[in-house]
Amino acid sequence: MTARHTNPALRATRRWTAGALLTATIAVGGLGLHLADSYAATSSTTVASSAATTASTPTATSTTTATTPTTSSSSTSTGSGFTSTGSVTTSSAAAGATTTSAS
Amino acid sequence: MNELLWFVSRATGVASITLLTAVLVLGLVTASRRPPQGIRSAVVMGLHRSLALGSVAFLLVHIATAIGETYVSIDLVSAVVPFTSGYERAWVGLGTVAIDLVVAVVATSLLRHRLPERVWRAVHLLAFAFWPIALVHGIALGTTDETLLRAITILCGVVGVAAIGWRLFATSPDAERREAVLVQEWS
Repeated sequence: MTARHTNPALRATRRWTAGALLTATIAVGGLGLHLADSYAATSSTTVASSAATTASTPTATSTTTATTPTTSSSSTSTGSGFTSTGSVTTSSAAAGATTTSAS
Repeated sequence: MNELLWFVSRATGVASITLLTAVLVLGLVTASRRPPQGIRSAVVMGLHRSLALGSVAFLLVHIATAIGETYVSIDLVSAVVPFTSGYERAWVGLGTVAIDLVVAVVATSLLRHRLPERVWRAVHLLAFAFWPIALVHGIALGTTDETLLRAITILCGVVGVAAIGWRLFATSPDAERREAVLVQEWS
């Protein structure tokens, strides 16, 4: 039996079914792409936010070294991103090196 | 690959509830007090049947990808036996109940010619149970952070409720004619 001799109702049903299922399949693809895009955007926002947080976090390293316990000592401080000056509350003059961090 | 499965699972879930809503609406139109006449009647009935089978295909992909991805622990058992999933037990369990009911409705429809009409009808009425259960599953679980998916699911709910309301409250043309005759004055 050729397609021309098929029942018109059956033909219409097949056409509508094929159209609906094709639309649903395309919709699945579109939704999948939308989800992937949304996921990628969320991921990049999270990474950017994390990087920005890291960059804006004030860091400081204070290193104090003493050659001998009682004679001379030198102190260097490096810092970035401070909005106000902090003070190192602990300092050591003991022999060796002491590293103190402040934020 | 895991992300792909997760996206496909969610997308096919939304497509499934959309198709099942269409199947529900077509079934309500067929069984309404104002059924379509002539060739349209056959088309509506044929679409109701073929889209039901088509939606089962989407459901199978939805289940397979949900089991396949490893973000959440949904295994084969929890896809068949309700409320056994380690992830969101209640909401996944509702989805499992809906799947079991869909399988029952589709299976009895395929075997309709071998079953008593009453049995087929009783099981077919379960569609009124599985559709809202699937809808709640979709709203509560699958679309928690996606506005578009949630909007589609809610739209399906609105359309389905409207169709059920129309089925319940629409009067038959016969009843309207009888009422029109009754209000006429005797002359």
